[in-house]
Amino acid sequence: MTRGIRFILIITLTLSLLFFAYLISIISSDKYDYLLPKPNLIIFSADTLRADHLEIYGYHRTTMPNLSNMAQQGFIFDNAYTVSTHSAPAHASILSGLYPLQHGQVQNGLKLPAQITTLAEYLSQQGYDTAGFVSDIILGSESNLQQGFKSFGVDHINSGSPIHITESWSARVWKRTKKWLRSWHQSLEASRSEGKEYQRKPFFLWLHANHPHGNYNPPPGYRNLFVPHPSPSLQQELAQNNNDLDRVIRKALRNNQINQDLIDWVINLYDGEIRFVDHIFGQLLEYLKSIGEYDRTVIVFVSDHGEVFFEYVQKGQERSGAHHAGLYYEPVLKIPLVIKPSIHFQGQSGARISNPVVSVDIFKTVFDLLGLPRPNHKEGHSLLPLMQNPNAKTGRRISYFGEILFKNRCTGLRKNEWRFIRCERPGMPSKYRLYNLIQDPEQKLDRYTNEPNIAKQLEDILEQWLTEQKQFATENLGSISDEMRQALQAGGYLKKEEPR
Amino acid sequence: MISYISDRLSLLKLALFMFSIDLLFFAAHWIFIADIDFGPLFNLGYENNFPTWYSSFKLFIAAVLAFLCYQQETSATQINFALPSWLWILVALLMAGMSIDETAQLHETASIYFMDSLAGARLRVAIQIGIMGGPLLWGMIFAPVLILIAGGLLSFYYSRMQRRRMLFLFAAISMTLFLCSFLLEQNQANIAGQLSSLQSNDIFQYQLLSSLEELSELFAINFLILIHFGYLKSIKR
Repeated sequence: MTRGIRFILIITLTLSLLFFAYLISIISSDKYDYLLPKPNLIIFSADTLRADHLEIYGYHRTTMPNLSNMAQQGFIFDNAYTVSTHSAPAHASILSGLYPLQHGQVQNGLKLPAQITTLAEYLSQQGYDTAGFVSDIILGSESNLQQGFKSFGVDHINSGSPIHITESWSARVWKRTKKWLRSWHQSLEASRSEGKEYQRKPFFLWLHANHPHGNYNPPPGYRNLFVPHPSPSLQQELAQNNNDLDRVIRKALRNNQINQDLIDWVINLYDGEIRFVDHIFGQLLEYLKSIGEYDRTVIVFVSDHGEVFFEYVQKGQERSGAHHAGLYYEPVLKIPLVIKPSIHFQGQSGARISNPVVSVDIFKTVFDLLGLPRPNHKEGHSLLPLMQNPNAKTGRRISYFGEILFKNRCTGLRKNEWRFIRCERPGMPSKYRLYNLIQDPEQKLDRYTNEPNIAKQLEDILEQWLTEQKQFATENLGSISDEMRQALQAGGYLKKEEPR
Repeated sequence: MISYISDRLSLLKLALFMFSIDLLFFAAHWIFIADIDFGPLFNLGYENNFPTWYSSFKLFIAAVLAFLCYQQETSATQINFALPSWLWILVALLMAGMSIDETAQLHETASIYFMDSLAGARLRVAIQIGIMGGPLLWGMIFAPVLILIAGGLLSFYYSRMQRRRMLFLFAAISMTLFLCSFLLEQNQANIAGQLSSLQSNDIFQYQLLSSLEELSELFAINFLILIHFGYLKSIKR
């Protein structure tokens, strides 16, 4: 054997052995095993839940004890805002990381365009088992929010149906969810028994509870939780109106007879609904704990938007006095947001974050918390830096919203103490509003005409934001089913005479 | 037949012929890339299509030529080489095996199985490759064996071609091209692992990398054929 050949063989053998040793060192080390497999993700959205009705935000009633407990291991966002006052666009923004004017689902009853890639699609590609269970037809297949979910279920029961009282929408959704989780767990157990737990698929679950959305009709046990019964006069009024609370409210609004008894009873029912949501949420947490997945799961608790209670009875918008669509007030725009990271999170959990954030930010945040590469969206900020350093003064300074309401394109922003709102309709003069939320937190005084300079500055910022937004899709008006039409009309999202 | 061809075909003509066909495949890849019907047939990044079968065919030719080299060397030469002649049989078997593997995708299948194991998952996480990129890491999994094969081949060619410098240069180029192909595949794994965040630029980059990687492989096989063919011609003289 010549020297040349010997030289090549020695080099080859050495390189091969070194590489072999390197591979063995990697595959025999459990150093990164905590990253295997990826954490699960649950997004629990409670419809129409206003933040200031939760004790974690200072409410005087204990409406969500289970959420409060979980929040001790997570992060409470004190200034979280929605980007739409409609359920479908608001949820589409959470699931796509885009604003409604970008993803195109700008109001309830429209379809999320198929070219929008949803969180479920991204996570499916990363090997996640995905399931979504919603309790409102508005979020059902016609809205296309099921895009990317391997399993998807809608439980919609018409308002006023007796079943609504005995077996609530959300309870049915929870039953479905539990069944799905049980089957997921069974496959995990099967993998475990074969010694292949590392092969298991993590899950992404979106659970939508239609409580406390009106009509407020909490299940038995939650109806009289905070106030035993309505005042005698209201009781009489209800009896005269077939116990139809909505009718009583409409009558009272018409006759300008809204009184504290009525408001208290409505709020009692609303709070009862919240407590019922907490009951379901608690069952979910308990189940996760029972199968040992609680610590391995990132849980996001959020609402699509809030609600007002007679605070803002507007001309031409008198409906039930308790509503949300197109009402750009703090109780509607400010939403609860609590994020509990999984054990993979490197940092101290259990803090409050006061920086303003918007629901669009959830999208990038979950990718960071799951340890997955983020899509290159320009929109939204990951909240992870804030979670790692809650006192940091970084991130967003301005929160925006935008949607279409009865052919009006309404957009707005909040910057520091100011909230600016602009509603445009082709062929009509635009409507503007400006509020100082520090001096006038209840937004009673419109300062648009008194503060023209500030209004101009904010409008310029808004205009700049709208220009910068890459529109992935525009309105996608299609025909809708009769069932959807009824649901939209019942919810006040579609006028009776409006064709769609 | 081989003898007839080898007497009339120069090394240069053979090289021109093979590299031209490879470049035609490369062109067809990009021409038909967006075509739903023809695209998959010419896509260099896919398996079980014309480029794969052609690649497999070329490896088979390299195997046959290696076997002929063994026959010629044992019957017509009296030279005492540093490494024995029967190693040509081993080279022929290796090329035949590579030919079968190219069509049957054996290494890809093995890699998928490995990536499903705890060891595979650990490897993927340690080098930060997303789950979809795992199967493309076959080069890394088999690297110790591949290094041994490359080194063994180089030593063997060196033992035969010390005085045929050009042929040994071809061997070195061939091994370098295989190495390039391996490195490009690692980059592809990296991109494929970030599938969820792929933008159109990334997809183009992935397609470019996969086409270049396959082209490197096609070129590398050409050099193997040229080595065997050139050596066969030289020992026949």
